[in-house]
Amino acid sequence: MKNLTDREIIDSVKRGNQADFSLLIDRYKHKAFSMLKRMLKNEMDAEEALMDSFLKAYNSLESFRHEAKFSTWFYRIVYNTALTIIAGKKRKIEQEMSSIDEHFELGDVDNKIYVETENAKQYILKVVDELPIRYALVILLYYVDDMSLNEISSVLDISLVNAKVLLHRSRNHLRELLLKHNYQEELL
Amino acid sequence: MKNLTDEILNKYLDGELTGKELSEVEAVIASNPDELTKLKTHKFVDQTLRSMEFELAPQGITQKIMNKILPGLSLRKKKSYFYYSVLGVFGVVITSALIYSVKLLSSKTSVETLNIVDTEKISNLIIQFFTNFKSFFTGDNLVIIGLCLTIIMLVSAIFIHDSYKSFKKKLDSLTS
Repeated sequence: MKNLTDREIIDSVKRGNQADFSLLIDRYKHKAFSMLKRMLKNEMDAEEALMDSFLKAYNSLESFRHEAKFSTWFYRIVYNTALTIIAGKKRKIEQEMSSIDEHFELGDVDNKIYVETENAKQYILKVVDELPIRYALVILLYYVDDMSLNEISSVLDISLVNAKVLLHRSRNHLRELLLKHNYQEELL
Repeated sequence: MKNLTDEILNKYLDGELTGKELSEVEAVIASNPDELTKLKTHKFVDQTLRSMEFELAPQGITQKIMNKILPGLSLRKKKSYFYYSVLGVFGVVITSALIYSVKLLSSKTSVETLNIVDTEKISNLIIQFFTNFKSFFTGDNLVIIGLCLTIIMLVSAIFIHDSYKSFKKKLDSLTS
């Protein structure tokens, strides 16, 4: 079967072939679910948010004009859907959506992860799970979804400069943690 | 350049260093093992993050979402199967009843009539057939036939009503 582009699938759905929307679902469900699980920390909430996101995308498809990539547009919906779900927990939102200028410290969480993991790679991946949401999302979208910083800034509704700062600061922090725990001997 | 700043390290990973900056970095790491360690650790972070995998969405999620988007389509399909199967059952019942009645009638005819070629006897046979056929529609037989016909009419009415509703819905969506 021909590998259709997002645009071709969307045009087909707009022409009345609603069943073709399932192709888009299959294409984006895993990455969107990863993003939601990272934000919501709960599989059931993430599943519900995933369904809501796709329904919103389907209902808004008529207004999608291909000005941006579908993935960027869709992940924006996913991000906003997750924010809506956790909106009730106002204190948590304020914590997670803290100023870009603020540095974060993992403290005891870092020590716990260091004790529980066996090698540098495991350690890094566990630490990423504990990063503040926006730092973790930038890493996920950049490294797993292969998005550019421009696209990431559109999804998260932040400036390009801030997206870059989040990415660089995450890398720097992870590097410093590896050096702190003397993982360099393992790496070299 | 004496040591590698965070900015330089990130520019190195993103391939944004100028030729001059790259030469300076090479000079620094050649002369300073700690800076080399710092660079290698920074590269390791980048490589590890590139190996991150996404989590799999729950099984069956595509179908769940499509069921919400197109509930009418799946429901209509199920209804068709139900109606056709009901029709099929009654079709079989009625066909069986008819076959039985024909068998019943032909068994009442004498064996001799099978060999008759005579025109008069053929017409007598036809009259006898219709008389017996008419007598079939009495008593219990009439009740059974009446019941079958009633159910067929009921199913047909549901079919017609459902078709009309779909047609009206399509018409409304076109005109709205």
